[in-house]
Amino acid sequence: MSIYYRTSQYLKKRIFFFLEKINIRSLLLQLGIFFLFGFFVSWIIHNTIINLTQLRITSGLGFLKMRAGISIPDSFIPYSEDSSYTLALISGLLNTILMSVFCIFTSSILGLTIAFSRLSQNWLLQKLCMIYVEIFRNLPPLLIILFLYFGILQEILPPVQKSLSLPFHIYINQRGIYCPALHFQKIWLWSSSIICLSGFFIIRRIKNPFNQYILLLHLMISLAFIVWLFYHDTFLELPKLETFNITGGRNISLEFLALFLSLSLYTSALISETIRTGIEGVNNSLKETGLSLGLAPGLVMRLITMPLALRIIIPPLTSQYVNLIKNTSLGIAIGYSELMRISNTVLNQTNQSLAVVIIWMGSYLSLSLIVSTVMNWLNKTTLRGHGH
Amino acid sequence: MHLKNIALAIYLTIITTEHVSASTLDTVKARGYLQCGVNTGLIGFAIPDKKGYWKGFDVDYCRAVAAAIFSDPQKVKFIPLSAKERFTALQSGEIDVLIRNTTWTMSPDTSLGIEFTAVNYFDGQSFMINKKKLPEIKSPLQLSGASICVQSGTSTEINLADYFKKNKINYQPVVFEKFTEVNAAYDAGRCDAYTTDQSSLYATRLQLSAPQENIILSDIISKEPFAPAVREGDQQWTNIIRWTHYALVNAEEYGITQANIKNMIRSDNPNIQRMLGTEKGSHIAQELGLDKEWVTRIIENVGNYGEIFERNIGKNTDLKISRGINALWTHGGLQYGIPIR
Ligand SMILES: N[C@@H](CCC(=O)N[C@@H](CS)C(=O)NCC(=O)O)C(=O)O
Repeated sequence: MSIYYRTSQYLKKRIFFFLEKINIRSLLLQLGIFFLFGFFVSWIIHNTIINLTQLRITSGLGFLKMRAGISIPDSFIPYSEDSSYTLALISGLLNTILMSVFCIFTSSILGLTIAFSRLSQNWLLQKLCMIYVEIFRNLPPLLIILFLYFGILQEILPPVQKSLSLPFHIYINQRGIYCPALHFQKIWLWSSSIICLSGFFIIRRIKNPFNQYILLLHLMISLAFIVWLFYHDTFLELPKLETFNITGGRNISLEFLALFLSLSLYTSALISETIRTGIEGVNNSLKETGLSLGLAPGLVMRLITMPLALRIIIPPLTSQYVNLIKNTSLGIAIGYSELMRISNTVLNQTNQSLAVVIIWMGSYLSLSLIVSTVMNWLNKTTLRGHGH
Repeated sequence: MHLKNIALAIYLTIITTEHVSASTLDTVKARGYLQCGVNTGLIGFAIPDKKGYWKGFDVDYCRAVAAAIFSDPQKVKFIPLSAKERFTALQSGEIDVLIRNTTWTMSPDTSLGIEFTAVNYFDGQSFMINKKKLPEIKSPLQLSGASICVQSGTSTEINLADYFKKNKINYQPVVFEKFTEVNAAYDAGRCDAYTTDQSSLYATRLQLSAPQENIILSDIISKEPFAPAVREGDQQWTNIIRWTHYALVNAEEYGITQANIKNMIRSDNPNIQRMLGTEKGSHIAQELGLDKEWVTRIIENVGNYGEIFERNIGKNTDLKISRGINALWTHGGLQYGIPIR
């Protein structure tokens, strides 16, 4: 056979193999979809530009660098009227994240407690928790927020001049909670965390008595150092009453408090239901097997029921968390400076609807995606951890 | 967020229409009524009564325009808009004209594709405090460290920040989105002071649980010229709104009122004749796209500027606002009717 023939046969084979592998039809389909999508996107962009020019609306992202001129209560980062719109939006985003983290933490713990109480043998506890769940689960969160803020907190808390004063210089009034602030230099924070970390590594390596001495030495030296730093750089700022407000110290605003409490209560009711159904969803025979093997009920819960229940719980729990994040945007109703409120204000001051709506949607989408990713990862690890 | 902004975003991306061609006047005439953007509920300016009938200074302006076009002042659909929705509603064509205590400032005028027509009310920003709780406060400069309630998305919010920065005083802003929420929070004592346009403060005070305990400080910290706004690009429509205002002011200047209009039609004063369309061969109105009797119909139905003012916000109303700088120029005020000729 000629070399030519052999090569062409070979090539033919390769090409067929290739075509077989990639499946030409699906490739064409994907290319088609890709082009259609690309066309759609460019059509939208083109259209938007034409519409904007026809309506004589100025647009773009240039406004982000401008001085914002608005003031933001409860800013988590240093922000002033002279900061840019970008910083204003970031400050709002951070407040959203802060609120979400606090609420996720509290509502999870509360939800877990309630779920277990409902599964307990104690009749009264069980019924009380059921009432709690039914009340909070069935009310719209906005209603809870408004009622708590305007109906309860504003009404029962005393005005500034008659602030409730608690031990440790903590004051509560109609405008929030005021407590002493501990001011320290950053170096204190850094050095103590470095010392703690190194101590942790030493502990992990204790194998012989000699290392134990080192650990002891380390502990003593670092303790002395921390105390020394503490006395040098740290001071306590106490809140004090002035003409209009209590100033100084840390201030947790009423808006933060109301939003935090109502979202935590609302979400904990939902979470407790998720956990309860998850636990009840585990096959009873498995629990009985555990019990008949002589395991204590607590151990059965920990070793058999919980790991299996987690697999049922995590997916709906994820959407509960995502919903919680979206619900923080209800803070706008009581003036908590979260992302929604700030972007609304930015939008109103600049009237850049398009850009602000895109930034705003993008931020919530990213937050939700991050939570889903973390929870998916958690789900995978629990699955892997139990032999699946 | 707010549906209107999302709707506008979608509208801008998807719709492909020719915005330019149809004239607003033709659209309004074909529709049979005017769509007028007003406040959600501000006593004296725009608020529906128990039966749902809209009343107020801004509302009467809408009715004046309707009277000029249709000879029926009731051919208006009132569309209540919050501070944040108002410009979007105008841009997207949901309303034909925005008459809603809206301050004429440069940036909306130049960058939003909208245009302000004429100043129908000169206002300024002020503060309201509870005089029972804070008897010593006479000026906003004494408000150092105070919590101040303000509605977001207004020019008010920026003025507040500017004023305190300029005077190097600290304050704690408490910012709400909705008018009703600012009121509720101030009423509950969440803030020491409430700031917004002075006219709105008079209106808000009436809705508090104890109006007589609250006073409005006389210091004015900003300029708030309210002006009706329209979409840019339709000069005929802009002119109709603008000249409706000047017709109202000129009518007051010439003493034409709702009561005497029947006699005024027979007046031999050329200025009055020109305005009321009785001058021979006059075609001023045609150039606006209206007929000769447009001013006559406006005055017949809503009265002149002074009458609108007194009926809705003047001394004999609950608001008891005096004409102040809104008096005619002939009385030392700023309202000056550009000649109709
Ligand atoms: N004149 C200012 C403020 C206008 C304004 O929105 N004022 C408030 C008074 S506090 C109001 O009418 N709010 C009613 C609402 O948003 O529903 C502006 O144009 O920005």
